[in-house]
Amino acid sequence: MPEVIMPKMGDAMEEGTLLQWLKSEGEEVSEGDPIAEIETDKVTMELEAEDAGTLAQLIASEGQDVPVGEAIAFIQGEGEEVPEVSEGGGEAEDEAEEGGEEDGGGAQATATETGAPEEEETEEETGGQTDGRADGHFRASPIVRRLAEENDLDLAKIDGSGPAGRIVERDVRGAMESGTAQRTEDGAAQEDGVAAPEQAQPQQAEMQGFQPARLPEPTEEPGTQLVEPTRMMQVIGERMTEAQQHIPHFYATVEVRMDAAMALRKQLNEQLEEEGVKLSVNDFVMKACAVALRSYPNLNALYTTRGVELHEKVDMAMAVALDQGLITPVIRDIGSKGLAAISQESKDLATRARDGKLQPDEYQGGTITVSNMGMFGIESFTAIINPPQAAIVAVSSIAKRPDYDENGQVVPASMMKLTLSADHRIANGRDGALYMAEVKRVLENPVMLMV
Amino acid sequence: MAETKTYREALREAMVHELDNDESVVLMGEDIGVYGGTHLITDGLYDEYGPNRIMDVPISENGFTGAAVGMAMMGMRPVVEMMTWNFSFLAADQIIQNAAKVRYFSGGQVEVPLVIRGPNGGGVQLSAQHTHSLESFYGHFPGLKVVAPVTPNDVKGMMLTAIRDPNPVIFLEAGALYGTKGEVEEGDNAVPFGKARVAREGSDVTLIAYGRQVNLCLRAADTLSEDGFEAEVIDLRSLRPFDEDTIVESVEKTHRAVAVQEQWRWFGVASEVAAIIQDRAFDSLDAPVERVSGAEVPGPYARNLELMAFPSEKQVTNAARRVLYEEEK
Repeated sequence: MPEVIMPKMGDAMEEGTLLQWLKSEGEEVSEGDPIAEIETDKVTMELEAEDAGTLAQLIASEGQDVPVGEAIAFIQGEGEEVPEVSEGGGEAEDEAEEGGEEDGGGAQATATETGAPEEEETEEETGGQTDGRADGHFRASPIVRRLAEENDLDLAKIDGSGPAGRIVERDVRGAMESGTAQRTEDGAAQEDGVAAPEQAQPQQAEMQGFQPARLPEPTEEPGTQLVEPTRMMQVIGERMTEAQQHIPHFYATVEVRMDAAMALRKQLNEQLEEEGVKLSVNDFVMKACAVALRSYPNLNALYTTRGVELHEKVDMAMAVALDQGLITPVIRDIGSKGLAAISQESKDLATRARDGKLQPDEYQGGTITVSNMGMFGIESFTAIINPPQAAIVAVSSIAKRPDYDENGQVVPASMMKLTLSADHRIANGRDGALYMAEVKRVLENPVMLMV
Repeated sequence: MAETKTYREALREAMVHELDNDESVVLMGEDIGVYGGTHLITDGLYDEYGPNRIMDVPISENGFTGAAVGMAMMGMRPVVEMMTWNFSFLAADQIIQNAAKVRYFSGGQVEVPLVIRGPNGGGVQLSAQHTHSLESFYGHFPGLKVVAPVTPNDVKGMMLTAIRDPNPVIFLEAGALYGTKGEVEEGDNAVPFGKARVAREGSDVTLIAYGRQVNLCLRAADTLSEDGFEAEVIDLRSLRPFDEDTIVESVEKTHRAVAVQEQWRWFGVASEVAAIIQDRAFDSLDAPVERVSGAEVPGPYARNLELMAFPSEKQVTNAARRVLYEEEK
């Protein structure tokens, strides 16, 4: 009988929240019918039935966090019987390896994005029954906890193969051999829900973005309102905490005279108007950041378990603010793309990001990030590195200021501040300074953007 | 020097050894003299030592056990045979109320160097009233020592220790194994109480048993070995005093444990083993301690039912597989 499993919607996805059943137990479903609404850390999606039959058993309850690959329901075909719900994660896990790739026997349901506009999370702690970590607490045997502590392992990175997802010794030994569970200071925060605020106890089990034990109780006074964090808010909070605390940031700010770039932009936009292209300042900045990386490639890198991975291609993540959070869709190989292509792609990504319609592979990966708050008139700011990347460039507003020309005469100038945040484990101050100087040079001589 | 002997011969040898060494040692029991013993443990001793050392007693367990307690209080070293331990219920008042407590009552002035021995456990189709494993029953009472040797060498060595002990010793023999053979050390091979024996070394799971179930565990260990799992088998031998350290050290090595007993699960030795492990080796555990016990029914007579009511090799191997998080077979 086909199992409906929690699909894997991206590399970093370990679990999803079953927000709502759209069909009830015993209801007939046809192939392609939406049967449930699922929230990942990034998007809300509808899960479609891949088989026709009776929705025989709803295993997961609404609000429950379900690990990827674990059955959430069964679709009963004619003459089939409902199997016993397997307690162990064992079988389900094999399927998790295959992810949502729909390769025959594996996943029996696909998620399609419907851009469910509101994220009406019911983040209840009901999930614990089938999952070793659903409520942020891990099921792990005592020896596992001891080994994790002695070897500085992050249990969040280890899948439990014991009953109810319990992490058992062999899981840890496997992870120790492969080196995949080291508690690292790098971009390991790719994982969901595992960031470790400093106040936290060493026990991973205690770790969650919001720690009841350490935080004050709500006052519940009149005039207050209690807002539960959405899943996305939690993930952002955890990842940023992790990044801020574990990555040794350093910062370098340059002030760029944008007159030439603005003039070029105006000229290009006039030329491209008929094609419906309107280049933004940010398009220029992103392109400039990519061009400058040709000379300083060590900032186009990921901090991994086994060293710094340098990337030839620049996959540029751009921070897009959402009503309920933040997402960083990625322009792949931006260095090979022209300004018009970049402009179109960034607009498309930003629009779909706000509509909640990004595909997971569109917001995962990325080798460097640009975050722009210029549109809000921000004079200068620093950004937190988007792990495991090496750097992020914070783009501020363009302001008219008096400046000196070559003859020492005071002239009006359009100035913009760019602030680099870089991982000191990957690059030193000089690298960052030279890189920012190169970005400045490219933007002030925007013809460089054409090469 | 060691020689191959049966469990029965080794047991007799220990008693003979002490009969020869210590005049205060006497054997008492139903039909142990002229008849040679229902299980032939004392066969031939009557002829050699006479009726004053090898005493036939009437069918009155409470009476002759009480007499033995009194004799022990007066400085003799009686070794009392229960034809089977099932009959000791009749003598329980003497054993529990007097033997176990006189030393305490007298502020240590009066010792009770008494051994009560006999076949314990079932497995030979003697039905419900003759199928009991009484180690947790007697092990419950402070003042009694309780031992359950399984090898011929241990039964000899522990009987020597039992007779020499100044306290009442409940000596539970593996009745079904009287005819089994093993190497037995010559001479005085006294085995101390409170020291478990590692019957087989292994690294993946610890099987803990005593008495006849040790052999079951050894067979299970061989089966597990075929699948690549090396079980360590611990023979407790002595249940009071109890050797916690050997178990704890083993579990610290293997991280998994299965306790096996023939008696019923509730309030049994296996539960005590599990409690000790969680208490002292908690941080070494990879899985909850499993217990394998007899079925919660009075001992059945029918052979097929009796086999089902006793721990089987399959139950032990599957319990081991569970703590190893492997598929049961």
